[in-house]
Formats: sequence, C-alpha cells, structure tokens
Amino acid sequence: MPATANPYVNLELKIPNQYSEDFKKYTSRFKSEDGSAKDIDRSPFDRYVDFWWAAIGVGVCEGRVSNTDDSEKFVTGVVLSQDPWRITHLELLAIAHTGSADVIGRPGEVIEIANGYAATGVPILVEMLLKKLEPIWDISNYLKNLAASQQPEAAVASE
Amino acid sequence: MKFKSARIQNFKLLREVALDFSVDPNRPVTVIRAENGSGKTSALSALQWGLFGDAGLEESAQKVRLSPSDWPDGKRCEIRVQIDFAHTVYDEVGGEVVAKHTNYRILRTVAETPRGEKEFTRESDQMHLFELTDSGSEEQQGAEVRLGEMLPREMKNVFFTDGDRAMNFVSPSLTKNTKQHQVKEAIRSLLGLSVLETALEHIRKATSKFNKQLAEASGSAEAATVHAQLEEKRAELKKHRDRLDDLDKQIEQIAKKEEEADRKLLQAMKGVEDHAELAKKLESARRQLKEAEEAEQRLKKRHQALLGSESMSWALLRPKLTEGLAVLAQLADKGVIPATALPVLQDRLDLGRCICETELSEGSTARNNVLRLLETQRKVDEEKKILTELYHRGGVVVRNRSTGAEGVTGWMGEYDELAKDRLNNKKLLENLQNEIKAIEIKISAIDQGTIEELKKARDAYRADKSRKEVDRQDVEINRRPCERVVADLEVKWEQIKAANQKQRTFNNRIAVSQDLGAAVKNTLDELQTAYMRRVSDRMNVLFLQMVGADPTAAGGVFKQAEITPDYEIKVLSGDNRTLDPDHELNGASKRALTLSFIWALTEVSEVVAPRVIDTPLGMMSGGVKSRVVEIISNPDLVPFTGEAGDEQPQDRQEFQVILFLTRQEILMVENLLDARAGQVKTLTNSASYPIDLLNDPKVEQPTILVCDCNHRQHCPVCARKDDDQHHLIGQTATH
Repeated sequence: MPATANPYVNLELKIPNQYSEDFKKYTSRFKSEDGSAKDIDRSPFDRYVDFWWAAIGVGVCEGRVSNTDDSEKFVTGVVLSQDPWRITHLELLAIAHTGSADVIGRPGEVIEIANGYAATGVPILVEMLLKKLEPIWDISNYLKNLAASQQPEAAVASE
Repeated sequence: MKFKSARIQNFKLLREVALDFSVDPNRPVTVIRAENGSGKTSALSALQWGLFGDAGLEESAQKVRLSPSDWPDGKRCEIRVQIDFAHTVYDEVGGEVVAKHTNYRILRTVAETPRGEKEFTRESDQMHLFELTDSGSEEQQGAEVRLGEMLPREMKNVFFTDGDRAMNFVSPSLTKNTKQHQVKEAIRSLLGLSVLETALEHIRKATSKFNKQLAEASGSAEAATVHAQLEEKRAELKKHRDRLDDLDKQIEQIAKKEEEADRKLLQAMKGVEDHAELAKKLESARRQLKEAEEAEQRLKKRHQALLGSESMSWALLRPKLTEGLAVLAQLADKGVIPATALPVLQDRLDLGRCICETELSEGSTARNNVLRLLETQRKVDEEKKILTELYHRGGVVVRNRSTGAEGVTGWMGEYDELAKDRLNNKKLLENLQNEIKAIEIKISAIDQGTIEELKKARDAYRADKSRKEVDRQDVEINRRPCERVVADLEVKWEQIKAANQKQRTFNNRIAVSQDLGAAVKNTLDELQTAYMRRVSDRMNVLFLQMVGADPTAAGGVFKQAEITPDYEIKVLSGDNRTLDPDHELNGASKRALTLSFIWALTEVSEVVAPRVIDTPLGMMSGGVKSRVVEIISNPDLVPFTGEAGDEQPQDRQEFQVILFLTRQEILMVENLLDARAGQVKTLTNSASYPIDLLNDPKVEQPTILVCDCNHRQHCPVCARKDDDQHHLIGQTATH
C-alpha cells in the first residue's frame, strides 16, 4: 500500500491549558527536572501524542466532545506521520462523527473533532493520574474496562 | 548402686531439672538427649558433684562458679543436687544368694554468692545421706565413708566419662609420657591402693629414720656424711619426681583447654567455609536480580507501548471506526467511489466521438463541453481518490482487527498477558531481594574477628604446653643424674653398714624395713600389672567387637589393641604393625578405642555402679556406631565381675547405663534405643532461640528446659530447625 498522505502537518493538536503541566509530568519521553529518566509506572505515556490519543479514546467512549476555546497547541500534526494508522483512525472518526465523508475535504475540522474528544478525556485521565504515585495500573485497568464496553455485545457476552 | 532419679537446682543453667533413670534390668539404658550447649556437661558435673562434692569435679571446674551465670552479684544462691539411688547387697545364705535392696537419697547443698564476672564466694558444701523406707527417711552417719564403700571417689573418672575428654588417652596433642601417666593413673584408680601407698610411705620414713640412727650410732664421720648426703639427694629426687607429676597434670589440663579451643576454632572455621559458599550464592542471586530488574524495565516499556498502540485505539474507537467505514461502504455501493468518469471522458476525447455518437472534433462546442467536464471531474476525482484510499485503508484495518488472531479481545488480551508477566517478575524480584538480604545477614554473622581470637587462644595454649614440656625435659635432665647419685650413695651406705658390725641391730631394722618396703612395692606393682593385663585383655575384646574386626582374618585392618607394660595404648594391624593413632586410626576407631578402655576399666573394677557417658558416639556412624551401642547397652553382654566360670546374676540386675546423646549421635541407632532405653528425656537450652529452636520458649532467663520427648519425638519446647534431618515426630509439650 502506498504511504499515507498527511494533510494535517500544519494543524495544531491541542489540550486544555490548565492540564499542560500534567501533560508534561505524565509523559516519560522527556526527562525530569533533575535530568533523571522518569519511571514509567509514574509517567505511563511515552509521548504527548500517546497521552492525547488515550484522551481521544476516553472522550469517544464518553460520547461527547468538549469546547476547545481554552485549549493550547502541544504539537503540530506532523507527528501523525510517524504512525500512519492514526491518520486512518482520525479520518474514520471524523466521518462517523459528522455522518458524512465530505469532512475529509476539511482537514481543520477533522483535527478539531479530535481535539474536542481529547478535551473531554484529558481531565478524566489527569484526575486518575493524580490519585496514585504509580498510576499506570489504574489507568490501564480503566482503559481496559472502557475497551470492554466498546466490544460488540456478542463478544462481550462470551468473555 | 543404681540411680533412680535426680533433682538439680541452680547448678549452672540447670535451675530446676528433674531426671528419672531406668531401673528396668531388661532396658537398662537411660538416654538424656541434648545438643551441644544444652546442659549435657552441666548435668554430668551435677551428678558428680552430688556424689563427690568439689572433688568430683575437674580441677579447673573447682575454681569456676556453680551458680547460674546471670545470678545477681551479691545475692546468695542455694545450689542443690539430690540423687535417689538403690544399693543392693548380695549375701550367701544357706547356699543361696539373697539380695538386700536399700533405697538412699544423697542431698548435697552449697551456697554461693557471685561477686563480679569471675569472682565468687562459696561456703562449704553440706552432704546428707538418707535411707528411704516406707515409714520415711533416716539420716545415715558417716555419709562420706558409706558412699565411698558403694562408689569409691577414685572411680569417678571411670564411671563418669566425657567421650571427648576420654580421647586424651590417645590424643596426638599430648606427649607420650603424659598419656602413659594418664593410663597408669586410670588403672591405679581401680586398685584402691591408697592404703598400700600410705604404708609404703611409712616404711620409707621408718627406713630413713633407722639409717639416720645408724649413722649417728656409728660415730663415723664418713657414715654421717654419707647418710646426710643420701637423705639430701633422696629429698632432691623426690622434689624432681613431684615436680614431674605436677607438670604432667598441668600439661594434661592445658591439652584439654587446647583441644576445646581447637574444637571451637574448627566450628568457627566451618563458618568460613560456609562464607565462601554463601558468597557464591550471593553473587548468583545478585546476578539473577540484575536480570530480573532488566526484565522489569523491558516489561515497563512493553506496558507503555501498549498504552500508545494501534490495538488500543481500535479497542476504544471500534464503533466509530466501523461506523465511518460503513459510510464509505455506502459510497462504494452507490458507485461514487472509486472514481471512474475521468477515464471514460478521456477515452471519448481520444476517440473523437461521444457515447451519444456526437462528433468531438477539435474546436467544436461538444469537445469544449467535454473538456470543461473533464476539468471539473479531475477536481472531484482528487477528493474521491482520497476517500477511495481511506476506504481501502480502513477496510484493511477493520478486516484485520475484526477477525483472525486479534479477534475480539485484541488489546485486552495483550494487556492481560503483560499484567501476568509483570506480576510474575515482581514476585521474582521480591524473592531475590529477600534471598539476598538473608544471605547478607548470614555472612555478617560469620565474624572473622572471632576466628582470629580463637586462633590466638588456641596458639597460646599450645605455646604454654610447649613451655611446660620444655620445663619437664629440664626436670627430667636434672632427675637422672640425681637418681644416679642416690644409687651410688645407697651402694656406699650399704658398704658402710656392712663394715660396721656394731650396728647390726640398726642394720637388721633397716634390712627388715627395706624388705617390707620391697614386698609392699612388689605387691603394688604386681597388682598394677595384673589389673593392667585384665584391662588390656578386656579392652582388646571390646575394641575388636566395636570396630567389627576379626583378629584371625588374614589381612585384617586391626588385629589387637593392648596396653603395653609401660602403659601405652597401642593398636596392631593385621600384619603386626603398630598403627599410629594420629594418622592410621580414623575418628570413629579412636573413639571406639578410648570407649573400650573406659568400659574395660568399669568391668575390671568390680564396682557395680551406673556408667554415665557424655557424648560417647561422636564421630561415629554406620556399623561402628551400631556395634558400640549394642555392646554398651545390652544387659545380656554384661561380663561377670569375677573369674571365669564365676558369673554373678546380680551383675545383670545391677547393670545401668546413662548416655548423654545429641540427635546426630542417635541417628541410625533409634531401633536399638527403642529396645534398650527404659527412660528418655530431652534437655533444651532456652538461649538457643531463635538460632536453632523453632519456638520462643518465653522464659525470662536463659535456662535448661526438660521435656519427656524420647529419641524419636519433638515438641514445641525442644523442636529445632533441623529436626527434619532426624525424622522426628511432633507431639504436644510434656514437661
């Protein structure tokens, strides 16, 4: 299959302003203030985009988008080229959200839909992260329960 | 004499210990089971002290306090040992042997007041002997004499034996002279010869007096001078001999201390060997811990990757992704995607004719319309191309994630797998960390400093012993010329006496006293030699039985054990070579040799008394151990105490053996003890918790505890951490 085109390179991926410090804290790719590597159990997400994506997942499972007026950019869409599957998932999500394939012609709207779902999910994740010194297990179990709720009924019944 | 029971109070850590002894002639053995440091030696000493007082203790023990080590300074401690025993006298009445049994109680008490770590004051001990009857007890007069008749004090080391101390008879750390002296003294102790020795001393003194009278009466200056010189030299010679005896005793004492220090050092050195083993284990555990920590990091990375994975996205967004794809599928169904109009229009332009057959020639209106349509379609197709690609990509995702190996659970299954792996690794980490901690504690317990101190102490005793042996040599060097001078002077004196007819009376007296002295000395020597031969013969029989040797078999390892005329214990091999005990007898054989010597002494002594042995089976295993236990415990093997053909039934009735054994000694002879032991008790030192004991004894002071556990049992009081090795059966505490 040919390489996936990325029409979102210059667009802004955003999160709510008030959580930008938490965003940095719980992402382990970047070192701590004292220069030491972060413990993964305390900072479960590798990159910002991983945190943002988990927040999108939470937002989708919550079934709502939130206002992004108080959101700020943390990175541009260029980062999506590193994982082409994200582009596919974002676009199918946008089509499902609007009910029309026309949204693909409006890249800004695709990203805005994603930012809206992320704005719903970030506060929920941050609240969970703050509760424990090593929150990786609480986060993981929460996401697993969400995932279970998204499975088709027949599959859920058989588990 | 047969012990029935003993009650010991405040004797070392035996604060309140009651022991019962088997009086069953068919099961004559009493076993007191105790590990090292659990009161065996103290119990043995208590029995000896109870019978003989301070004289019953080793010389070094006489200077050591008897009260418990934590008894408060300045507080008077009452030490008490009570022994109940039966004594049977056999009389021939009307051609029949009639037995008369009497029950006695010895009660010995002393008060001791500790005054600092090693200082103490001890009052004179009091001993009472009571005859016990149905109507009560009656104190006996002349208790010490009565007791001496039943069990002479000289026999104490014969009937009360420390298996380790008995090894001194063949110990390589003692000189030959010292060992010969010990053997000779042990045999002389059988003879009760103090009366004869005293008589000999009296005769010597009388002889000396008569010689002096002769010298004075002779009026001869030479005679007086010779006599004076002779007396002087005799006195000097006696000093040398006394000094030699004293040095021999000191050397014996130091050798015992050296052996004890060596034993402690070997035990500590074993810890060093364990140290190397532990260091290896520690290195291995640390290596495994490092691997587990690296695995932990890898698992964490895997965990993190799962939280940013496509499979998680699919798991959370599945309904929306499927819905989005369904919209695209509808477009595909309607033919909106993939775009097909552009190729058709291009074809028609190339053909120059529309589908409706209209000419599409250059510059014509129809051609221009088609060209405009083509341009518009190109823009629409660009969008449709993107949708088409998305439809294909999305279709692949949905198809792959909905079926096959991913199935429904997909990310959840991956997460469950990871969680299990992380949990297992976490447990492994914890186990390794605990293991490392435990090993480090064990290593730190092996105190290198202590080993150095023990080495110093052992070497100090060795040096001291060497100095004493040098002193002994010096004394010996001086004794020999002195002996020669005395001999020369005696010859001269005889010549003077012979020349002086006037002094015949004195000469006669001197001659009579000398003859009498010679007769007593010869009797002494003959008795000693006779007893020595009897002990030697019996020792030989017992030793060969214990080691399972057949003296008639050609090429056998052992042919004979004997005591030589100069009181050396020797072993001959099958080819008549004298074996060196240091290098050619293993530990078990040496032990059997000394045990057979002691046993022979008890049998030849003709004294009927309990035979008490502490740790007789150390270093023994297998066949030697079984045979030794069989020989010393079987009432049917009791030899007669008289001449051949003069067996006395009372010997079997009175046979009693008391053994202090560790669990290791009991191993593999349990069946024999089942058959022979009429009483078994266990002693346990409370201070052995928590290192060796399983359960906290919950006592305020270190003390020796007694329970009724036999050689096959353990209970909450005596249970030890290594009891599994001895296949013991647990029972509730009975004490």
